[in-house]
Amino acid sequence: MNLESIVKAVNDGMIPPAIYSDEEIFRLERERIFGRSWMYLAHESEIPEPGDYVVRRIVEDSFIVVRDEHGEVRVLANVCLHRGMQVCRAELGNASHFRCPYHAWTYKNTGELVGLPFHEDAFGGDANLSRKEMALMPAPRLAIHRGLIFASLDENAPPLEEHMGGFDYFLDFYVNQSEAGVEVRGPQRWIVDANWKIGAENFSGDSYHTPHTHASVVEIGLFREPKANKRKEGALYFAGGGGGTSYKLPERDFAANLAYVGYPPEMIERMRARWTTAQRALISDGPFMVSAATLVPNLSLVHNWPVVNAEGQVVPFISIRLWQPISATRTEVISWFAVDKLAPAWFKELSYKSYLMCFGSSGMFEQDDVENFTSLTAVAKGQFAQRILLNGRMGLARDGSFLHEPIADWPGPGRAFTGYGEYNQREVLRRWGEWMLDTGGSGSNGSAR
Amino acid sequence: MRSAPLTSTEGLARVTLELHHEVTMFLYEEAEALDNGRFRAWLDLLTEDIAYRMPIRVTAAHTLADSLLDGADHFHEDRYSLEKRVHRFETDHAWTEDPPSRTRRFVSNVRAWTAADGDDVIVKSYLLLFRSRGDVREPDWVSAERTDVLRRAGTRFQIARRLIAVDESVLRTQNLAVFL
Amino acid sequence: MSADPAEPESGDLAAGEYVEIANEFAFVKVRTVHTRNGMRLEITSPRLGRGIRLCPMELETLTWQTPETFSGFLQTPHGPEPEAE
Repeated sequence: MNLESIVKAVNDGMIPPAIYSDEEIFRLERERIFGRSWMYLAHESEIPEPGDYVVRRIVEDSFIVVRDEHGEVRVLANVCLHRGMQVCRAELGNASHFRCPYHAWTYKNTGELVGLPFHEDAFGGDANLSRKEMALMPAPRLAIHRGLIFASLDENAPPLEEHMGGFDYFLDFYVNQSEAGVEVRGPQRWIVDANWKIGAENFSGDSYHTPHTHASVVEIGLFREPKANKRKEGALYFAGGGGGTSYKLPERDFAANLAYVGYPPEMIERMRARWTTAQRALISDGPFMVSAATLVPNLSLVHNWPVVNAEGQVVPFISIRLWQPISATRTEVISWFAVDKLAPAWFKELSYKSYLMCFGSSGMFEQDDVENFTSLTAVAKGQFAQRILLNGRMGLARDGSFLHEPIADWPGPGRAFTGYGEYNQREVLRRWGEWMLDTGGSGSNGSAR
Repeated sequence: MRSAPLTSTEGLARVTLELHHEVTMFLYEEAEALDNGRFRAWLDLLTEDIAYRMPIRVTAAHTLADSLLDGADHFHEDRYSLEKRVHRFETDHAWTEDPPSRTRRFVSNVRAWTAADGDDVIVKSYLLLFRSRGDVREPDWVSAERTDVLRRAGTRFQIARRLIAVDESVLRTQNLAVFL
Repeated sequence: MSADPAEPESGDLAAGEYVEIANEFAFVKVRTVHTRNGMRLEITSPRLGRGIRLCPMELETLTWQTPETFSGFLQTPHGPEPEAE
């Protein structure tokens, strides 16, 4: 199949398995999606002080994400301008200057080159190699939203706000519970033999898998919610660049619902003060509580509220995660725990425990998800398997109309449905198709690549 | 942020040959229980107040005291969460381990000291976990050093503390649906 | 007394505990040293074999420096360079 017919099939909700396994398709994704879109790199709380840095990647490209001596966040290519050596090889640290291990070219943590051995003798001094004109290459675009640090390799990328669109309304439930924002721990990092899109799609809207894949966590009494009947009462929303799942809440009362998922009164009051009327309405009038979500292309979020101890206490957690592709069939999962900075200490500890039990490298939900993701990827390699088109049409009639109407009085931006349906996965893949067919030649997105 | 607390063995006396043999056999038998999927039997080897922890390893400069993160873990478990994990494997829906992985835990380099406050024994061991799933995947390996505090419970030992110092900063196993 | 070549030679001064400060680019040891009549902060780089003892006023001057001062020091990333022969 050529790319046009692949995208056409995907837009009809029928998915060629090759999009999960074909290296040629991945080569195009690398250029047309990861080379252009907004990529999440780190959270500001990972680099709170001047000189704090972490090293992160956009596919193969390594970047130093650093807070410089003046407090400004920078994203600098981790490539010495001399011979291309990685300047930082530790994955985190604190430094006012970076000194390349190969020939000791030394850069300020703003990226500027300040020193190189025998500058006069070897290069003829500043007259011939002007240090002022040389700096570690900054990512063409950098944007920070609610502490989330994003970069784009495309200097003509639309603003992050435009990319995110109405999804920011939902993102606030995860990372904007108070004026202080969240702090993160981790990340855990591990490699799975799965295509990066499978997790991104799953987190965006697969409430259908929950009752079956995650039956075990309900059986053992870890999580009350995912029983099949209850799960389909949740809303599946998509707005701007992202979408997600939610659970139906028991009351029509803001505070009672947040207490139901385990937030203490002081946090609830801060949320009340922090969120807009329209945001509060999702929880009081929907009433819905956000759960998993994805901001395209590869950033996902989780919010769940398991039973965290033998006393039956329910404590919610938030996780931020990146599906960092390595190849068509391998993905590094990078998963952070996040919690509101102003949360009481007891809550932070129990919420952390709740996260580790459910998601991340050892999480009991996650364990079963990854088994599905790797199996699907392995199957998608088969030449015979590639003759079928996977059915992603849940919620659609044969003629392409919706089986159910969108929620009429949805308080948030975008579109939402209750009941089962792959509305959001189709949205994620529709955007994927747009990127893939945009060769960047004459469009607004174009830039020299 | 840095430097997960490791149980110090500085200045402690090595255990006797006999005790060394006993704790080594304890670790071997623990590995045997896990490799054979006898998770209930494994739970029985842990104290009620078990603290079971696997901090995240990061790539950091060699001059730093430690490259284990403090407050960021793969596992940070107590009795409740370990019981839940075992209980989950007993359901019919823990897909990630059904069919189960074939695992082999190689335990070696056992060193043991008598704890400063008396009866407890501090044991350090190397662990190499081999994990094979299905028929087409390459097997996974997890390499770690474990520091355990073993406590006398009648005629036998139980594990009161376990700190797993994993060697990889990026795990090459699809999940930690395994105990280390 | 340690035979560390990085330590300035000035007799058997009483000294505080070393504090090690490191990142992936550099490693130094820092301690207070006590002279007969006062004290200084000693910074040594075992790798470069260099050391310096700074008095309180020298240390005080550091508090009004900007990062540019130190960028200036790092124009020669490994310290002073011998004149080309």
